Amino acid sequence: MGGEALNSISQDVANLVLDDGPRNPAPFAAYDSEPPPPPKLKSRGVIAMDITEQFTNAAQQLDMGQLIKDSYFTLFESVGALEIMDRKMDSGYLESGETMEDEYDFSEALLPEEIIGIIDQLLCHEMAWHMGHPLSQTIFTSLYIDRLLSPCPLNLDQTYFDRSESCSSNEPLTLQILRAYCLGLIRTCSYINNRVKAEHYYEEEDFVTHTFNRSLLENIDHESILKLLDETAELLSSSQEMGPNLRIALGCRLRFRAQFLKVVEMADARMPTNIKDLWTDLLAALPDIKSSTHLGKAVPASFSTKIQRKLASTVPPRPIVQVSQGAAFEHLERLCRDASVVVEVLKYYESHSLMTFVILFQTRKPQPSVYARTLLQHYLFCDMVILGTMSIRQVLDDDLAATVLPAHKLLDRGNDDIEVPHDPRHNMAARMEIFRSRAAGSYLDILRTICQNRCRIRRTLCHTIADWDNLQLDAEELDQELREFTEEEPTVDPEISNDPIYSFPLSSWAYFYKLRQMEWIVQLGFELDTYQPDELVGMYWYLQYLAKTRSRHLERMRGFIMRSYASFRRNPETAGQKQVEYANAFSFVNFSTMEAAATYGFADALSCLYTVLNRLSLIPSPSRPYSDDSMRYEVRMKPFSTIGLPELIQFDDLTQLITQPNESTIDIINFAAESVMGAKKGFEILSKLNAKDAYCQGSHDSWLKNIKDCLKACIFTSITISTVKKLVEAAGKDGKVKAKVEIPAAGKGYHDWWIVPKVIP
Amino acid sequence: MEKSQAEDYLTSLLNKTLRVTTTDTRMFLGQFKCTDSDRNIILSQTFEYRLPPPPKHLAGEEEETVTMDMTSRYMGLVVVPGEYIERIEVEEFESQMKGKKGVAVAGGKGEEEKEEV
Repeated sequence: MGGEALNSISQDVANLVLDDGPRNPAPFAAYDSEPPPPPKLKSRGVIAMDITEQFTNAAQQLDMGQLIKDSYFTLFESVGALEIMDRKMDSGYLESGETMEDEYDFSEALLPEEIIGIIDQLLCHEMAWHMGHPLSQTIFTSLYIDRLLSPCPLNLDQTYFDRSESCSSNEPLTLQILRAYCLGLIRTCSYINNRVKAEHYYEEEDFVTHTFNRSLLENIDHESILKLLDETAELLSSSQEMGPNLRIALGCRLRFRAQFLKVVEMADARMPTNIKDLWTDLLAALPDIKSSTHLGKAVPASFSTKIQRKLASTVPPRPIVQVSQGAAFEHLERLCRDASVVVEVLKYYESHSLMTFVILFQTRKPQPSVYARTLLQHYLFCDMVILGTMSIRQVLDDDLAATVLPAHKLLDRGNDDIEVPHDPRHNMAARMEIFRSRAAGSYLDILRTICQNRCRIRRTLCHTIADWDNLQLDAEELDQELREFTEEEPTVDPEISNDPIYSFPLSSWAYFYKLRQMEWIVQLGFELDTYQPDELVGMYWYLQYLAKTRSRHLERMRGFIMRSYASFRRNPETAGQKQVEYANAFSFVNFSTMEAAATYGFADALSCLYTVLNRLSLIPSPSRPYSDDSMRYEVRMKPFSTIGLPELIQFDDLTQLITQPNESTIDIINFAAESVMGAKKGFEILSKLNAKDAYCQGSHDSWLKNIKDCLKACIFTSITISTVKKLVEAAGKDGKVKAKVEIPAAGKGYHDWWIVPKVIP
Repeated sequence: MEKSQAEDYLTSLLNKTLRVTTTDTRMFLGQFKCTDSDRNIILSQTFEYRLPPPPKHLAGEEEETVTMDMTSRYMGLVVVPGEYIERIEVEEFESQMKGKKGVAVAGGKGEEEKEEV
């Protein structure tokens, strides 16, 4: 109990961290998760008094349009009210002659073909729920499921479809199969629903966890359901009732359901288990089901929207969601594949590889489903223990060591044991603790943010980037305080200035991640189709600006690591492990520099290419009667407007920089060609790195694919550039060329972050 | 009833728990938030109560049993159009009724009410 309470508290805290408002914001209040308990109609001391006549008389006195209302009740709220007796709004409305419940005979035995039909339809509904539709329009429309859930059974003996006496002893085999399957299905859903609810996701946008005040059999032990599934499968295999094909088809469905239930029950464990194999086995079970769907016979009468009348729901009645079998199987197969990959996150190599893993898992296409994404969050953050084995401090210290502070005394755990207040080690430990408590949340938020849907990732980054700017400032202060205790010797570079230069390790680290996130914001903008074709020139210019800033910053970081390494080497006592830490930090800085160089080279080339296309008037710009370029630029750059470093480029300056009025068109296109060649070389070198050097241990394959896609986009760009170059050279004095430019739609290019125009002469 | 009296009366009912029965025999129980000259009523935190379908074997059941069996579900904020309202009841605490009744009588409201109480 205590543990549970603690879990829920830490969960709440974890959810608070993302600054995006309450979890159930008002617009989504339609699905109130917990309705209050129904009031008793009869209770002592309360009487209901008939006031029909007084009320009617009083109401008639009012003027037309006059309202008597509670002063706290607003018109805005009333818009959300359900209109009773309106068939479109009132799920409880009955047409004249219509009955509340469906006349459905649950005692009637079904054909095995019909059982297959119902089971396959239920699978479609289950996947529709996974895709984000509410239970009320999917699984809950099945009369058989409704029968199992209402009234809520306390044990398996209360789950027979046929409620007349003596049904338990002679339940037809077909109905037992259906019952076992449905019980397994509901229990599977309950595990998935609980997982999703426990993590950060967007209700109604990603997924609907609302169960309409129904319990998903949480009081029935899943073991007993598994046992029933197994027993039923055995009974079926020894049965002579039906042909072998049907027997096999039903058998594989029962086994599939048992497997699915088992795997979602075990998926929460963060210990090394065979869970990956279970997901792969589940995937392997699907072809048998798929190949026998044609045996099924649909029973449309066993599904009905009327059940919505019995569900606690504050929304109007809605139709049954139809998802085709093809789409359902595809979704399920992808879920199995994604879930089998996500388990690999539990193998921790180092912090940079962890982040790469999370980023690349989320760029899988189509994006992994909500369940897979919440599993990832669970593996990462559950109970504030990272990946089930590490403290947040461990991961953060790893990251600091691998980025700015290799083998540094600030990260020495021994400092914690010093209690003498004036000992510098005590002071270092105390200040590092302040830094960690400030930075850990922001750092982990990057990971949690990346686990959201693509649009939300960008949106959340736009919000949290300001926090990183503050973090950098706070860290700068701590860096200055720490100097006294680390006795850092500044360097002086007379070429820059005569002031001493300090390393500022903590704020350096924060700045590095801030720049990374700013790049992602721009890159996700390309992916999400945020920018108009005529804005691409400016946004690619901005991307190269950010990447170049990162590259320069990495240069500075490298310089200070180098200095500390030089003094470390003068001291022969320390060696071994610490040597490795230095090597690792150098290797990461080198890798990130290479990556930044490829990025800015490519972005620069594309920006120049778009500049030339603009000059040739080949980029259409839509008519915008209500805005101008500078206003739009202000909106685009809003997330960056508060950022101190790197400074936001003013619109007029940017216009100068991208139009390059002093350069000739041919010079610009030549520069673009050089730049893209440089980027291409960069990507080629990157693609040859091994997993360790590329900081993608555990996800090398997806990383390589990503780099190869960039490379393809790069090559395609160089082709376009040479086409344009020929056009420019061939153009007459008037500079007019005849050509057409096609800009691929989002998701249609070689890589989502590189929008390469196609020029057709 | 004068207009100002009518307004006062309706205002005094605000936020009280009303039971509104509609022409299709459902009853809606919720807090009274708003009404107008057409007697449209907005209730918040509303529960819908419905008589269960008549059992096949027995026709005449005692009223009390039926009430106990009414199925309820939560619907939240609803507006009941005046034209479908059959009956309006207000929930009052028995202990507070005596004073109220006095006020109601003094306000000159119908005789029926007194009888019902």
